[in-house]
Amino acid sequence: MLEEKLAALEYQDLSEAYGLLPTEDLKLILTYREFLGRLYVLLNLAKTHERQNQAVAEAAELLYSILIDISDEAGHVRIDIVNDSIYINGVRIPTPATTFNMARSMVREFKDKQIGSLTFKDDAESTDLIGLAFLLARPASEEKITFEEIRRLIQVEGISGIKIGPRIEDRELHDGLTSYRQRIDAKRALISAIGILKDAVKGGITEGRINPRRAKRAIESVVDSILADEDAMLALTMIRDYDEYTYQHSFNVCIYSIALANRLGLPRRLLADIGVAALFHDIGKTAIPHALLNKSTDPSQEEWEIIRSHTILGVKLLANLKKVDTTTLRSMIVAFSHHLNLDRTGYPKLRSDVVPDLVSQIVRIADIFDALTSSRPYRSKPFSPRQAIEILYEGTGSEVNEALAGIFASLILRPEEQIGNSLSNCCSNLHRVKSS
Amino acid sequence: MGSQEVGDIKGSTDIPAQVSSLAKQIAMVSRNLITYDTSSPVFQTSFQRLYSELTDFLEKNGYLTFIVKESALLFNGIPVYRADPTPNSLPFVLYKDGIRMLTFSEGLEKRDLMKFISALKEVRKTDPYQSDLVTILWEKDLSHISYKAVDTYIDDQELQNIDLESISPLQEGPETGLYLSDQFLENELGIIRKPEKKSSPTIPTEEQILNMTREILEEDFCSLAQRASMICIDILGTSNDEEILNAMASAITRICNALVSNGNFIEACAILSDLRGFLIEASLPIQRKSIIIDIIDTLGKPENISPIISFMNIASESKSEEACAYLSVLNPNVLPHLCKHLGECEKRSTRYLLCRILSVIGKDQPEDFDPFLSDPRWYLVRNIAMILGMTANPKALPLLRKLIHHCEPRVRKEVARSVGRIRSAEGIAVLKSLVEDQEKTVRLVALTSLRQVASPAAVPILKTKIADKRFSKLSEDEKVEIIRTLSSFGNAGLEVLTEIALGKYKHIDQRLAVQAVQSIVALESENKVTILKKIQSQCKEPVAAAAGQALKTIESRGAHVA
Repeated sequence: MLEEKLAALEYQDLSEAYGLLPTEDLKLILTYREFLGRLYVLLNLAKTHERQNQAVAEAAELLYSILIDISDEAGHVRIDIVNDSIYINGVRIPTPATTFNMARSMVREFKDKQIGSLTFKDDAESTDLIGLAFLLARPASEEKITFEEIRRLIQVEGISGIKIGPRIEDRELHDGLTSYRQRIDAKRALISAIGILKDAVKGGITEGRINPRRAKRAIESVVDSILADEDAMLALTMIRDYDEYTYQHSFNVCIYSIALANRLGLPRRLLADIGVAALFHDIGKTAIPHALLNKSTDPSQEEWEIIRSHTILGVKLLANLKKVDTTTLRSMIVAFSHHLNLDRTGYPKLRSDVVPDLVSQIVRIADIFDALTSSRPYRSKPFSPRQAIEILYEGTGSEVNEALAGIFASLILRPEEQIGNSLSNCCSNLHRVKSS
Repeated sequence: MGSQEVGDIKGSTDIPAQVSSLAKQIAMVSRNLITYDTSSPVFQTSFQRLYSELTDFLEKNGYLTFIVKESALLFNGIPVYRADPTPNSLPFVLYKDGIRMLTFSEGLEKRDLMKFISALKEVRKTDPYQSDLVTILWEKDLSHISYKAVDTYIDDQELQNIDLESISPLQEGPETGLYLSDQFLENELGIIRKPEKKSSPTIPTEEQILNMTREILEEDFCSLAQRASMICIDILGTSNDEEILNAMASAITRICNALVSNGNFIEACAILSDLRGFLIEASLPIQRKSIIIDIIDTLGKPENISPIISFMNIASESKSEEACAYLSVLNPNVLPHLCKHLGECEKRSTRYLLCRILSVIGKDQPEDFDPFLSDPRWYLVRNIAMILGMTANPKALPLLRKLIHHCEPRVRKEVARSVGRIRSAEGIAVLKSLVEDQEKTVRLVALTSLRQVASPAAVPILKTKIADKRFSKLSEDEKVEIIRTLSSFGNAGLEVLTEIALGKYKHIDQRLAVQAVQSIVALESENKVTILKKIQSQCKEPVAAAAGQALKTIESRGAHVA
């Protein structure tokens, strides 16, 4: 009964009700991320310094102090690597742009050494931490150090406060899945997402045939694929089907938006929400004559007005969805705002003081980038990713969010060329993926 | 759960009995959570036992995988748990949403197991059109519980047809050889090229990222609903397409209803305020005004209002106040329905809130309450009388007048009180009848109301009442109240008070005459000294003494002032 539900809500944390991370969880994640950062520093120092070095001792002390704090609360600290994500005490640690490479490198190192988990008991000492760091500092490939060998050495060195667990392959947990699984998942994600769009185009939204359950499943699959293998998913954006530009463009914007949002360290639930909104951002275009969208000559001013009305038409179509929930609302907001600039120029023209929200700005960056780097039928040659990023950067401050554009550039450009370097010498990650 | 049976595992002596026990326990704990609260000892005991035995098993074996069939869970190909495929059976709940394999692995945290068990409960209340167990589990992001689910939405043949190896380079395509023009970019994307602006992309600081993360995390259903409705209102103000305008009206209505059904009355109220703000814009065309009025009318329909009233009956005081604020900004079309609830509502505090809401909604058109004045339920009529008073609108007086002869004294009493609240001289005519009511309580309230109305027009009514010989049969307190009321009109009552003091009315005793003298002293009249001296000289004791005392008091006050 509605009244019971309403009464129950009085006693319920709303952020929990909508599946969002409560602020307390964000604090917890920040603490865990700090722990991870300090562990990373210690592991790296162990690769380049002697065991007695003062810097190593200081790094171990810093790590030890936060370990004590967490252990006091939780009893222990356990790191797990599951599907290329890092979990601490069962909580997935999102990896924003600032720690993205660190997390990636740690996952790679753990996987190389076949380590699936690390448990720091409440009686672990800082000497244990140093001992572990120097054990893990040995390169796996050169000395052929195995998981079993590390486990044996931990015992030999008397590191009693730390326990390691083996990596359990997905195929062991789920027989029948192979190492090819991620690529299959990427394909599934692509087909599923484009299938939803096609349903919408066929009048699914207006006739209420859009299946929210299916949309959620499809985007969950896209999110998982991006979290597991970002490069493989970014590579999918290079598939070009010129007859179905809108579908492919929407899918690409969805991938870019999720990847960009992931670099903010957002939880999976929100990544999926943003993914759905991005997938439907241009849904209004389905109500505009195909011939006009694919016109070989420049449209007239009147025709531009019609094309630009897709933002409002998008809101109209999405407003028809059966249930009003966060996903629908976000999709409506993004459909309306994805051509709005920070200074409220762009379109549609506003009468109130609506300012584009951050999620719309994420989708806007993804939209501009994909539009610039895509070919259209009979129209133009695409800008290269480098040129597209430069154009994006011309509009920072007034049109697009500078911080988001910076993170997006780091997603597209090679890691060594990300910070502070001029774009002119940069190549694209996308090109790297393609060439590999 | 009655149909569920755990089958015997025959020929399975090689299967660890522990696995079978664990499967049974998972089913039992999930059943317990449906029946009991998480804090109940029954649930806690069963959950602790499951967690303890499951983690023991995982510590020794690394992981535990169940194959999910429609009516059984299999371990190493052998059924370890069986149950008929009913909506309450553990295997069926997993199977129906496509889960075919379920794995618990070593390192399982207690809260992950709790989230998993909660998901089994949550899915029972989930609209299957919106979500399923796979999505619920996915959103819970469990690190040591994984599952494999079939995807019935994807055609496997289509999957095979995509060749990822044939990814085409970005630069290729049937292009013209020219880049998109700056004009095109401006028209299509809304961006204006600024080639002179050169800057290098840098990754923002941790703090900048954290601030953005927080901003997005803090966007909850309420803030998104408010933003989306703001957009819809914006479109309402700019679009000329009738279909779009209707769609926006429908969207705003649905958003408001969704907020209300989540108990977010303040936010829904804010949306209505935005709409009302829009409504008073002079430039707004009539057609759009009527759309906005329609939106608010729709929100006030009985099907949208009834759940809110039911909610107010069980909600806390503060939440009820929020609901009250929301209902108060609806259109008057809600009035008959709220009145109907007012007549049926058993909770006193809710009835009071409903009266408050109705007094706000009906403030400008009190005549809308007319149909309820003849309702056979006297308590409803009494509440309507109270609401009419709360409107403080003189237009309500003709309605109140209709009730002055109501058979129920409690209604007449409320009418008297309400006329006082309206504080209009026009109310005197209604009170004139009520000060003569057969019930003393009604008459006393009517006197109080006469004081509140504070109109000299009331003096002749009181004078008539005093002059009437039946006055002497009134109770002492009522007589005192009449004198008090008379003195409240200031100099307008002076003449009658003087007449009482001088003994013009033979049926009035000397105690009241003394009170009249005391009332004269309190007045601001310039000639009260002359009047008092006259009383002192013409009257007998104790009235003369009272007048003498009064004169001394005035004299000492004057000396004090000097």
